[in-house]
Amino acid sequence: MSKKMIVLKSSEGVSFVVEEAVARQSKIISFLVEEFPDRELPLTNMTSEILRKTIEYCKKHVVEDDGGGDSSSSSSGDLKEWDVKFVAEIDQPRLMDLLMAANYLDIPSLLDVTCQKVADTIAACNDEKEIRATFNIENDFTEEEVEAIRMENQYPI
Amino acid sequence: MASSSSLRPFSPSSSSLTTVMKDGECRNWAELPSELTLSILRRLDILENAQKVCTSWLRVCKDPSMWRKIDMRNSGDLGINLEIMCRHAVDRSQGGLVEIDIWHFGTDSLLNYIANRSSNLRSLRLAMCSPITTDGLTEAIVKLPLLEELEVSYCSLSGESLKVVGQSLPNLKTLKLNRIGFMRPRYERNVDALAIAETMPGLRFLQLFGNILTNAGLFVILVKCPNLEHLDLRNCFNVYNVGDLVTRCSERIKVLRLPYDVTDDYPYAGNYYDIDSSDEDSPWPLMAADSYYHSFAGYIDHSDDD
Repeated sequence: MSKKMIVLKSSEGVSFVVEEAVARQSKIISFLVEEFPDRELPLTNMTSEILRKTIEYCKKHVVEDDGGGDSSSSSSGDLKEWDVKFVAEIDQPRLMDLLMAANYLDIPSLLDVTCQKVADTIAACNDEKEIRATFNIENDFTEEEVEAIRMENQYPI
Repeated sequence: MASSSSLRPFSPSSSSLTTVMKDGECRNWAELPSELTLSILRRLDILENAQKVCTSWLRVCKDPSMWRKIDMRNSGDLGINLEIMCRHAVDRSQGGLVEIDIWHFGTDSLLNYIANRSSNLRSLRLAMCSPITTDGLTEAIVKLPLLEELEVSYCSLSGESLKVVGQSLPNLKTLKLNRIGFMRPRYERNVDALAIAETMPGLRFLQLFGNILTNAGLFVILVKCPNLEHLDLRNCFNVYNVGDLVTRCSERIKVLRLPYDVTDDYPYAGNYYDIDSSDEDSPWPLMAADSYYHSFAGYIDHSDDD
């Protein structure tokens, strides 16, 4: 029996045909597939690039989740490694898009790995200036606010 | 069935989403929806740098939900006033504190401060907090009736107080009451054991490192705490044939650590006294001594249950 396929459409109007089981990693899609079977699902705020990445992630995870019980422990370790590599290869702007896509489509495991990747990057920065530079964030504090934070976080013995 | 308008969830729903998801190389991470920033920053152990990045991150760092767990384990030599820092963190939790770890500092007044502002606290873990008194600790704990986990390691808590604590904490499931053990001389006392057996029937996890209980004390614990699943009796040198006793009295225990088991997964030095009476000159009889623990001679008094 052939697997059931569904169509996801990116903001550029590009159609992606994916196995339903793959797309169902997204709780939102899972819900919509049940409500609207045989319907093409337009994802109007996801670019083709991000949609492709998201599908790549879901494909990997659905395969691994299927793969029989006996190899499960080693494969879950492999999957973690794969996840780490997957987010490591994504540049900063794309990482933000992917994180928002994971949030939007409600794919908890993808949201978790992307958030963790961002947190690890922040933790690796030496100070707030390095964080701002890394994440393209503007320093919008007034001098008074900077001083207030400094005072608030002093704990003299 | 539903009309096509029901597909609206897939239309751009928030302006910030469309802004950031349009094509372009620059993404301003400060514009990330605050619930996502929160989910990211919550994973950091230290918020010191993150809060100084921009106003939106500072706002997230001050969100009470960021302060449900306060972890102040430390080496005891940071050169800052940990007590003030701790109060500050408790203030930020705005009553939502769930877990707190305090190592190497703390006073009765700090504990009181926490207890008065944290009625939701589920887990209180104290280690090596020498200025805290058994009365101060008891007074604070009775104000925290939702506690499910209590650790009092190398702090003073008498057997009598332990009974009051047990009576005040109906939900207590985990107790870690760790003391300095006695290899030699052999002191025996079951005050802790009896207090536990009498007042903490719901325990599932019990760590009694270095306790001077005997088989009699262990027996009552096993009988009165039928839900115990994890029992750690390392450095309890007065109990014998523990495996047999446990098999006979308790069906549920899955993890059992015996008096002479290795202590390498134990977070503290695991010291015990081994005083050879023929060598009275020995000024420092602690075995497994670790320079980190050099100031602990005074703790011998805290193992005394009177």
